[in-house]
Amino acid sequence: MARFLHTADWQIGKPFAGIRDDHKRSLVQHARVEAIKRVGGVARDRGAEFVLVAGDLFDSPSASRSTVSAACSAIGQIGLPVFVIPGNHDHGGPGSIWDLPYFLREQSTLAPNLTVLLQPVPLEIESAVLLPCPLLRRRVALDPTQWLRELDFYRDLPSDKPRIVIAHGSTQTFIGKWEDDEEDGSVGNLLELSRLPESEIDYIALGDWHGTKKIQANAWYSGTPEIDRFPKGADNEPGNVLLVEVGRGAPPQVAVEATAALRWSELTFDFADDAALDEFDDRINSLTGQRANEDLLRLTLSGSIGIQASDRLEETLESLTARLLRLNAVNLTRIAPTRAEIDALTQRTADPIIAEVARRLVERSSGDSEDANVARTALRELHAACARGSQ
Amino acid sequence: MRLLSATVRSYRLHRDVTVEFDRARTLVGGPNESGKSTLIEAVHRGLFLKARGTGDVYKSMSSTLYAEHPEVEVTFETGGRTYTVRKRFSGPSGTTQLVETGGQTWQGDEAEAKLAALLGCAAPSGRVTADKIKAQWTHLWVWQGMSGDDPAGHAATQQSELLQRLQAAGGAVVMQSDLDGRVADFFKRARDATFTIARNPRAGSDLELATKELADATTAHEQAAARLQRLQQAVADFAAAEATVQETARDLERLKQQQEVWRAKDAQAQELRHVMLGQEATLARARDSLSAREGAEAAISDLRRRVAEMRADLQPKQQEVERAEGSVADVTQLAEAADRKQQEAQTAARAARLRRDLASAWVAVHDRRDRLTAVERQLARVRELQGSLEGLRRRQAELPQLDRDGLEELQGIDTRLGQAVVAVAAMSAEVEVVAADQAIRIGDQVVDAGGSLTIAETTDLVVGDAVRLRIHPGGGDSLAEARKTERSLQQQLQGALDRYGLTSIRQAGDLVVEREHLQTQIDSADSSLAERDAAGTLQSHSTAVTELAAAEAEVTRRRENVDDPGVPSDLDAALASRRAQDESVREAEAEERRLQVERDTLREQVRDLTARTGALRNEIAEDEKALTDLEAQLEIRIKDYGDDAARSGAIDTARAAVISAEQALQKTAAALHELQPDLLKADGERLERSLDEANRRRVQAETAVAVNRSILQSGGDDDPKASAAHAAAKVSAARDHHQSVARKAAAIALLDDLFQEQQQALSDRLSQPLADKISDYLQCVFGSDVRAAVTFKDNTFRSIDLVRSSQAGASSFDGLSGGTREQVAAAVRLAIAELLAAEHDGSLPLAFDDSFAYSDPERVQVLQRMLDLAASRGLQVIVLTCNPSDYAGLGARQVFLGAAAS
Repeated sequence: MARFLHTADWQIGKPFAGIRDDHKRSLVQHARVEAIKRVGGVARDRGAEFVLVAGDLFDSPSASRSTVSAACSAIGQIGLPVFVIPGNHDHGGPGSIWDLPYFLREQSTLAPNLTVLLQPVPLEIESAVLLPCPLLRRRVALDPTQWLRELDFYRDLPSDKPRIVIAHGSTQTFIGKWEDDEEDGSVGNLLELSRLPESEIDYIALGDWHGTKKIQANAWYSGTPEIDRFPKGADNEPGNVLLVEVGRGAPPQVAVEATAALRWSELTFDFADDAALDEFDDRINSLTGQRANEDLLRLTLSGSIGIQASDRLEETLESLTARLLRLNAVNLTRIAPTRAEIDALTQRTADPIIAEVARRLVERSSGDSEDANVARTALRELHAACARGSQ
Repeated sequence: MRLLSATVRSYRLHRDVTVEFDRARTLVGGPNESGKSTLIEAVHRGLFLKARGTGDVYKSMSSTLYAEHPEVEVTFETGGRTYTVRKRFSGPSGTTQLVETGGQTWQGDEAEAKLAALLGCAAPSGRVTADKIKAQWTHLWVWQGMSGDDPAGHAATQQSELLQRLQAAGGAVVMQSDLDGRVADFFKRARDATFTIARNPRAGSDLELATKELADATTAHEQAAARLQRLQQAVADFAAAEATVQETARDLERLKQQQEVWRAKDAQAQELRHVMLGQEATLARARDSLSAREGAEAAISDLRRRVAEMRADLQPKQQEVERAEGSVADVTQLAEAADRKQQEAQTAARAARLRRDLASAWVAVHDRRDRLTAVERQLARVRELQGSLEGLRRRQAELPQLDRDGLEELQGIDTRLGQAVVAVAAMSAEVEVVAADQAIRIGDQVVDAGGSLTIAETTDLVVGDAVRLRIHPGGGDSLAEARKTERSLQQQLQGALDRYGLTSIRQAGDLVVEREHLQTQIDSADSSLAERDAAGTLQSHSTAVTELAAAEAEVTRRRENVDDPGVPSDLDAALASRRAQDESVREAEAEERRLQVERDTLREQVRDLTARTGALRNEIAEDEKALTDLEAQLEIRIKDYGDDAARSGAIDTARAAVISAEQALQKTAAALHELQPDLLKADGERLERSLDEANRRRVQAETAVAVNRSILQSGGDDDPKASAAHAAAKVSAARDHHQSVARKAAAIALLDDLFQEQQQALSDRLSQPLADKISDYLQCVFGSDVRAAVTFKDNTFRSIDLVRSSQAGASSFDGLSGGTREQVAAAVRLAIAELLAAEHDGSLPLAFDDSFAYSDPERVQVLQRMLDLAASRGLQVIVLTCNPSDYAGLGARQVFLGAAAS
C-alpha cells in the first residue's frame, strides 16, 4: 500500500507575457512557486509518503537560473521525496534543463529530495514501483508508455508493491483543449492507455491537462495546483492535487485537494444602452469584490454606448486594470453618441461651425470601417473640446 | 447721408469759398494749386476733426495769407433731416456748432458728439495726427496719391459694419462664434503638435513616440525570437551531434572489422600474384625453346624447297640464252644488208635533186629573159612620150601669157570703152562754122568756116578780136567725166594689149583658144607618162638585166655537176623539164626513207636481242650465286640442329615442357580470380575512405557537441522562451497603443480639416455679396468676363483679387498695373460704400481726389460708367480733377475753382 500526492503541470517560470505590469506579472509568477509550498503542506498534512509530479515542472526547457533556484528551494521545503518526469514543456534529452550544471547544482544543494526520472526504467522505492514515461522531446512520435506493453516485463517486478505509471500527454479518450495565449494548441504525445496490461498496473498518474480529471478507474489527471489560464467550458476543474492511496492489485482511492490561490474569471457583457453601465459595474463587483492583486479577469465587451458613458466605461476599465492582476479586455463596444449628445453638438445654433463639423462626423461615423472609427473618435474629441470650451 | 454744400474760410489758400454739391454727381475742377485737395480736406476736417485742439494738424490748416482762424461750414442731409456744422479751428478756443434746419442747435462738445453720432463714427481722441484724421471714412475719401492702396484694407477698417451689412445681404449668413474659433484653433494646434506640414508625425508627438515604441518593440521581439531560435537550434544541434557521435562510433567499429577481413584476403592475393610471376617466366622460357626449334625446322624445310625450286628455274633460262644468241647473228646480217641499200638510195636521191635544181635554174633564165624584153618595150614608149611633151611645152612657152581670165578682163575694158565713146558722143556739141569773115578760134583751135569741132567741154569761141563766145556743151560736168572715163579706158585697154604684146582684142581671143588647145595636149601626154612610171621602168630594166646575168651564171655552175640532158628552148620547155625532175626527186627520196626505216628496225632488233641475252646471262649468274648461298645455309642449320631424327625428338620434348608450364599458371590464376582482385582493390579504397569519413564525422560531431553544450550552459540568466513571449506581448501592446494614438491623431486631423472647410465655406458665403457688388463695378470698366474674388478668413478680409474667366487663376491686387489698381480700388470703395449706405439713408458721399492719375484718357471715359452706376444706386460721387473735360461724360454738376476761388 502506498499513499502519495499526485500533481503535475506546475510550469514554474511561466512568463505570463500578457500581463504588462512587471510587478503584477511577478506576483502571478511567484504564486506558482508558492503553490509548491502549499502542495508540500497538503502532502505532509495528509500523510503522503512521496510526491509524484507528472511532467511540466518547469514551463520551459530553458528556464532561467532564478526560476530553477526558486523551484528547487520550494521543492526542498516539501520535506518528502519528490519524483518528477520531464513533460513537453521541460522535456529531457540532450541539452535539456535537467542536464545543465546549474540545475544539477541547485538540485543537490536545495532539493536533495528531488529525483528526476529521465529514463523509461522501473524504479523501486520503499512502498511502490514507479514506471516513469519521461518525454525526451517536446513532441514524440511513439507512445511514451509503449515500453510497458509487454507482459513479460512485469514478471521481474516485485508482486507486493503497487505499480504506478507516471506519464505526460493526451489520452485516446480525452484530448484536453485549453485556451492559452502562450500555447500553440497543437496536440501531440498521445498515450494509448488501453494497450497497457490493466492487471499489471495499479495507478496511472497523468499530467498535461490542467484540470482535474478522471480518465478511468486507475488513471487521473491531477491538473495544475495553481490555475494559470482563463478556463473555457465547464469540463475542467483546475487548482487541485490528488491524494492517492493504492495497493498492488487493488483499485486506488483518490481524493481531490484544492491548492489554488489566484482567481481567474471571465465575463462577457453586451451594452444595450448607457443604462447597462450600472449593471456592468454590479457584475464586476460581484466577481472581484474589494480585492486587489488576487484576480485575473477576461472581459469581452460588446454593444454600443454614448460618449459620456464611454468615458465612464474607460474610467471603470482603468480602475480594473490597476486593481486586478490582469485585465484581459476585448472591448468591442462601439461609441455611438446618444441622440442628446448628437443634438448637443449638432444643434448649437450659436456655434454654427462646430454644429456643421459635428453633423459631418455623425454622417461618417456609421459602420465598422476605420474611417468610421476615426469619425467616432473625432466626435468624442469634439465633445470633450466643447465641454472644456477649449481654452 | 449726402453733402449739400461746404464753405471754407481762411483755410490755407482759401479765403472764402463755397461749393454746392449735387445730390448724385459733382465734378470739382480747377488747375493745379487751385485748392481742390485743400477744399475736400477742409470738408473732411469739418466733419471729423474736433474744432478745439492744437498741434501740427491744426497749424497746417491756418492760412499764411489771411489772419483769421480757419473756418469750415458743411451742410449735409442724413436721416431725412438737414444739418449744418460750423467749425472754427482756433486752437484751444475752437468752436463747433451743429444746427438742424428747422430744429435743434448744438454747441461745443455736444455738437461734436451729435455730429459723430450722425456720421456713425467718432472723431479721433487724444493727440491727433494727420494720418489718424485721414483714417476717418478712409473708404469714402480717396486722398490724392492714395488711390492705388490695397482696397482689402478699407474693407478691414469697416469690418464690423460691413460684416453686419454682408450678413444682412447674404440672407443672414451666420458668423463663426468665439467658441467655434477657439475649438477650431485648438484642433489646429493639436494637429500641428502631432503632424508636420508634410503630414509626417512630428518629433516628440504621441504618434511619433508610439510609432517608435512599436518599431522598438518589433525589433526587440525579432531579437528575442532569434535568440530563442538559436537556443532551440543549439538543443537540436546538440542532440543531433550526440546521436552522430554514437552512430559514427558504431560505424567505425564495423568498418574496422571489415578492413581486417579485407587485409587477410589482400595478403593472399599478393602471394598468388608472386607465384604467378614465377610460373609465367617458366612458361615463357619453354615457349621460347619450342619456338626456336620449330623455327629452325621450318627454316631447313624452306631452304630445301627453295634450293629445289631454284635449280628447276635455272635450266629453261640457259636454253633461252642459247636461242637468243642465234637470233642476234641472223638479224645483224640482215641489218648490214639494209644499210648498204639505204646508202645507195641516198646517192640516187642526191643526183635527182641536182638535176631538178638545174632545171629550176633554166626556168629562171628563161623567165628573166622574157621579163627583160617586156621592160625594154615599155622603156621605148616612155621615151617617145617624153619627146612629144617637150615639143608641146616649148610651143606653149612661145605664146604670150594670156589666159581666159585675162581675155575676159580685156573684153570688159573694151565693152566699157565702147559705152564711154557712145556717152561722149551723146553729150558733146558740134560747132560747125558755116561762114566766117573773121578768124574763128574754138578753144585752142582755129576753125574756119565750114569747119566743125565737137566740143565736149566749156570752150571759148573767139571770133575776131572782139567776139568771144563761151560755149557750154550739154551735160555740164558729166560730159567732162565721160570724156575722162573714155580716155582712161582707152589708156587701160591699150596698156593691157601692150602688156601681152597684142594689137587687138580679136588677136587676144585667138591666142587664148590656141593656148588652151596646147594645154589639153600637154595634160594628155603627162597623164600617159605618169601611168608608165618612167623612173620605175628604168629601174626595172636595170634589175632585169642583172637578174638575167645571175640566172645564166647559176645554169653554168650547175651544168658542171650534172650530166647535161640538153638546153630547153624556152620557158615552157624549162618548166616542163623541172616538173619531170621534181617527180624523179620525190620518188628517189621516198625510196631512201623506206630503206632507212627498214635498216633502223633491224638495228633495233639487234639491240633488243643483245640486251635480252645479256640480262638472261646476268640472271642466271645471280641465281647460281643465290643457290650456292642457300645450300651453304642449309648445311649450317643441319650442322647446328642435327639431323632430321635428332631434331624431331628435341621438338617433342620442348612441346611437353610448354604444356606443363601452362597448366601450372592456369591453376594459380584461377585461385587469384576466386579472390576477385579488382573488386578487392576497390574494397580496400572504399573501406579506407569510409573510415576517413566516419572519423571526420565523429570529430565534427564531437566539436558540435562541445560547442552546443557550451551555448546551452552559457545561458540561464533568463529564459529565452519567456523573453520571446514578453517581447511578443510588448509588440502587441505597442500595436494596440499605436492604433489608439494613430486613430486619435487621424481624428484630430479630420477635425482640423472639417473646421477649415467649414470656416472657408462660411467666409465664402459671407463675402459673396461684397464680391458681387465689386464685380458689378468692375464689369463697367473691364467687361463682363471679369469678377472679384474676396478672401475672408478668420473673420477678416484678407485680399480682394481680380478674376478673368478667360484666364486661369486670379490676379492679386499687388500684381496689377498702377492704373488698374486705382480702378479696382475705386470699384471696391464703391461696393463697400453701397453696402454701408444702407445704414445712411441709402447714400454716402465718395470723394475721389485726382484718383485716376494713372488711368489713360480712354479708361477714364469708361470709368465714368462705374461712377455713374454708383450714383444711380444712391451714392453721392464727388470727383476732384484738374481736367474736368475728361469727366464731361459723367453728366455731373461742375464746380470750377479758379483764381477767383482763392
